[in-house]
Parts: sequence; structure tokens; C-alpha cells
Amino acid sequence: MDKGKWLTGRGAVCYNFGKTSKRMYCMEEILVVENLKKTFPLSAKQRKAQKTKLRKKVAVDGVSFTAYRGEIFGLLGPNGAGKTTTLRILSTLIKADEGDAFVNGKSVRKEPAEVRAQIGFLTSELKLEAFFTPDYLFNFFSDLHRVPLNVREERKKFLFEKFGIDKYAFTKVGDLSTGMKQKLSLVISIVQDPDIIIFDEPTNGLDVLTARVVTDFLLELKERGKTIVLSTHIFSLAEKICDRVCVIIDGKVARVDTIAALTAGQSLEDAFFDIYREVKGDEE
Amino acid sequence: MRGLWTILKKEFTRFFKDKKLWLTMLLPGVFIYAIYSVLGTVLQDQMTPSSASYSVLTMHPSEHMEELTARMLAGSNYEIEYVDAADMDGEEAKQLVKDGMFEAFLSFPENFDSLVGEEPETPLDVYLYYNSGDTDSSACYSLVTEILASYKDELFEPFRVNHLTAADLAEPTDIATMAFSMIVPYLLLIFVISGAMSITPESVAGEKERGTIATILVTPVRRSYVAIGKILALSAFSLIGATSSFLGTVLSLPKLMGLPDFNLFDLYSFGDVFGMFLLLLSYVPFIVGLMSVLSTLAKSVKEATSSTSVVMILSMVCGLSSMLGLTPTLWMAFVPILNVAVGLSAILSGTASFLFSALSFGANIVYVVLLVFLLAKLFDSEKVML
Repeated sequence: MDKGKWLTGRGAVCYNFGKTSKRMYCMEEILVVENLKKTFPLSAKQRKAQKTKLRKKVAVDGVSFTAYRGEIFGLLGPNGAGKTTTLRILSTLIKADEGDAFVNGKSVRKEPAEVRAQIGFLTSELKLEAFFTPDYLFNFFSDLHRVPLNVREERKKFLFEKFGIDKYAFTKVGDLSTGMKQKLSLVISIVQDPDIIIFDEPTNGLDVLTARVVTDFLLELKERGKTIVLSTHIFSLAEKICDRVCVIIDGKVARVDTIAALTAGQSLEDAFFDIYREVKGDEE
Repeated sequence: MRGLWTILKKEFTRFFKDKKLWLTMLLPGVFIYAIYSVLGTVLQDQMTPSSASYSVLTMHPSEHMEELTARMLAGSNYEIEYVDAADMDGEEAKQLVKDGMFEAFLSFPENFDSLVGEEPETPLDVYLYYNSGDTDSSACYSLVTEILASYKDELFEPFRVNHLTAADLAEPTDIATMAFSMIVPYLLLIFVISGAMSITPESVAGEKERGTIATILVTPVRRSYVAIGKILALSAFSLIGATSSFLGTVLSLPKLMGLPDFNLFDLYSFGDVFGMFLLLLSYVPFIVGLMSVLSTLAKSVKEATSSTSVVMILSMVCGLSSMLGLTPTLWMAFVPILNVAVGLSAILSGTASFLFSALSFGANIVYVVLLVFLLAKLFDSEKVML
């Protein structure tokens, strides 16, 4: 069977990964994104800065893709391509102007509360409140996600030990190192053990050691059948952990494919630039 | 020097390019002008009311005094009615003035009009009593004193007023009541605002600035619950702060006024205290709600602090109404902040009406519900929150 060829079924897809060509996975559609469009109004100041007369900026323009249970799906693109906007729509933080996305069959437009119950969301912009302790924050977010007490304690123990936070469980966040704060942010975004985890630039600003802990954990989550949708502009990260990537340029999907099919022997960075040139043509 | 010029230029550029900074610098001047202008006008009105009608209890009334009063007040909007205290003794009449039933008590000697005409060897004694704890009584006292002075001038001073007598019938508690009704509402309003200002911008705009609000908004919790939860918690903190400041003020004021043995509960009933508490209970969440909305609209804690300071200025203006002894009228019950200032002042001066307090409480609760609704809507707005 050719690498990257789809064998579609009803609600499930069988796919042959390039890297493990001898194995074939049958996967269930868990996130279906259909023709998302999002525009933002531009203020006079923004129009002047961007040297445009247009009153609106198209951030996402007809983005569609599907993610399957147990895969790491990456949104790859330069800054301002629309990756973060797409993830914010998926996490119900903002509403799409057109199109819809379905998380386990629940519409982000019509059933945002149900969607929120199934996702974990982490943004690199998150800064935790300095005067709370990791223990308190874990309990707080567990309560918001209605995690039962016994499950909460078990999960807290597991995650805190996993990330080495257990020693600092009762230390104020303000006294933690940057790496420890990032690890804590990651932990509190998955307190409820969600099926889908959405990460906006998960390793942004992390030192190599912490970044390694995070990427290893993402792979572990994948092994446990979790679906991870992440955005990144770091090719090495995408190449290392993503099963498939969606290349977004100027708010539009340029390619969705496995890493193997996308790179076809060259590096992801080179493959990306080929796609970029193809899309932008003589513009650049 | 070149370095100095570069720094100066940068600071000026920053100032002139930031419209908000401009506003922050210029707005206080505009507000001060507005507050002082309004204050001046109101004070002027209070000190020289355009019209007033007073009732003076009179022992052995003087016909000439009444004629003179009519002559002097003709053309003005003042009116004095002399009521004969024929069936009373002096102490009874004084008590009626103390109780606020009459503005003053004027006591002439028997057959005063004929006696003064006979040019007596020793001056006749006339007594004028009033209650300095009542602003109307004080104003009436000034007016009657003026008329008596004219009477004396006409007769080459054959009588004297309040010779070796304390004319002020006010008890220390009357003065305390007046001081409380003037000062405490203003201070309470400011204490609540100060408490809310120290925590609200940080709790709402701070969450936006840190990005933690996004993490909360992607949980299954309803956004209206996030809004209500914030307002309730912040209100509780503000109320604790206000209560502490209130107790400090109430306990220290008697000492400040030289009444160390003064007991608050001699003056105010449990109902009065409960009424004040209810008004505060509706005022605190209103202020917190208003500040939360302003903080949500702000992009940073700094911006939120600037915008919430407008609420502080509004409260200061409304708080001044208690110092001016503004009389509660029904429409005031529907004006937030002002209704609490006027309502508290009325309770403390013993002139409160249940209807006014109930309407003020109800109106504030309606405004709080509207603010919570607005806050939940703002939490839903991606333009505002992200």
C-alpha cells in the first residue's frame, strides 16, 4: 500500500503511516473542522500600520481538516498565518464567522459548553497568579471541570510526580522557576484528562530540558489514545512529534498530510518552503 | 547634554502620543472645576435659601415684633409664623424646639409692648432659644435675631436678648447626630470605593492581562457564574473593608467631637443600623459591578485603575450631598450612589422614610443584576476578552 493513502470508512479512517509502514492504524474521527472563516475588524491605527485600506483582516479563510483519535496533529505556519485563531475557535474562545468544527460530534458553534467539557487548552501566553500554590490551582481547575475528589487527588499525584511539581506543591507560583511555571500551566490544562488537548505553541519560551519533558509527555498522551492538536512554527518539533500536519499560509490550508508524505525525503523546513513558494508564487 | 535631550524627547513623545495619558492628566482639572462649581452653587443655595417658612413658639407675643417681622420680610420669600405658647410653661416650649416641632422659642416679658414704650430703667429681658443641631432652627435663629436687633434700634435698646442665658437648646447628641449625618455617609462611600478600587482592577483586568481568564473561559463553567462569582467575592471583600472603616469612624468620631461617653445605640435604634447595612449591602455590589465592567473593558490593570477612578470622583460628588443636608426626594432613590448618600444621611439624622430606603435598595439591586448581565455578555465578547 502507498504511504499516506487513505482508506476511508464510516466515521473511521485506516491509514498507513510512512514511518511505520508495516503497521496500519484504523482511526476514529474526533475533530472535524469544516470551512472555518474568521475576520477581525481593523482599527484606523492598525490599517495605517499594515498599510491597507481594508477595514477587515481575514485571519482564517476556509480552513478544513480532520484529526483522529490518538494522533498528534500540528498546525504549521509562519507568524500571523491563522494558527492561533483556528485553535481559539476550536477551544470556543472565539466564534467563527462561517463554518463549524465538531469535537466528538459536538459543534463548537452550537454546543460550546459540551465542547469545553472535552478539551484541554493551553496557550503560551498564560501567566499563573503568583500568590497561589500549584496544589491550589490544580484543585481550582479540577473544580471548574467538575473532577470528582478521589479522581482529582489521584491525578494530581500522578501529574505532579510526572513533572516534578510534587516538591513545590505548596510553594507560591511567584517563587517557582519559569520552567516549573510552564509545566504547571500544562498540568492544569489537562486536570480533567480530556480526550482532545489543544496547545498553542507548547514549547514556546521553554528551555531545552523543559521542552523535552513537554514533548515526551505529549507522546505519552498520544500513546494513551489522546488527540493533540498543536500549533507551532518550530519545524523540528513538528517533525519529531506530529503524525500529520496542516500547513497554513495566509489563513488558508496549503497542505494536510503526514510528515512522511509531506517531506518526501527532504527536511520539513525545505518542504515547507517549497509549499510556501508554491502558494505565494511571485508575491515574495 | 545630548543624552539628556534624547531622554527628554522620548518622554515627551511618549506623553504626546498616548491619548489616555493626556486624559489622565487633564481630566482631574475638568472634574475639579465641575465639582467645585456645583458645590459652590449648592452651598450658596443651602446657606441662603431662596424661600423658607419657620414657626416660632412665642411666650407673651409682641404685636410690634409681629408687625416688624411682616414689614422686614415683605417682598422676600421668608415667612415667620409666631405661635402663641399661652398654655405652656417655658420648659415645655423648649422641649418642642428640641424635638424639632418649632424652629425657635421666643419669650417676651408679660405686656412687653407697653413696658418698652415706658422706657424702663433696667432693660427688659427677651429670650430666644433654638437648636443648633437643626439647620432650619439655626437659620430661623439668625433671622429672628436680626429682627430683634431692628426692634432694639427703633426703641434705643430698652431690652436685651438672651442676657446671661444659653440660647442653644441642642443636646450633645443632637450635634453628634448632625455631624454623623454629614460626615459618615461621605466617608462610607469613599471607604467602599477605596476598598473596591484596590482589588477589582487586579481581579478582572489582571486576569485578562495574565491570560488566566482564557483558561477559565474554556472550562464548562457558565460565563454568568464567572461574572457573579467575581462580583460576590469582590463585594464581600469590599464590605469587610468598608465595615472595618465604618467602625473605626463611628468609634472615633465621638472622641473627635469631645463626647467620650457617647454611646451609638443611645442615638440609633437597631432598625436604623439595619437600614444602613441594607443600603450598604446594595451599594457595595453596585460599585464592584460597575468597576468590574470598567475593568473588563480595559486592556490592562493600569488602564482599569484609571477608568475606575471616575467612579471614585462620582462617589465623592454624591457623598457631598450628605454634607449639604440634601433632603431625600423620591427621584433620588433611583439615582445610584446618590440614593445611598442621601439615604444614609437621612437615617443618621433621624429623618429617614422606609419608602425611600426600600426604593433605593430595590433600585440598586436591579442595577446590580443588570451589571452582572452586562459583565456576562462582556465575558462572552471575544473583542473584549482577548
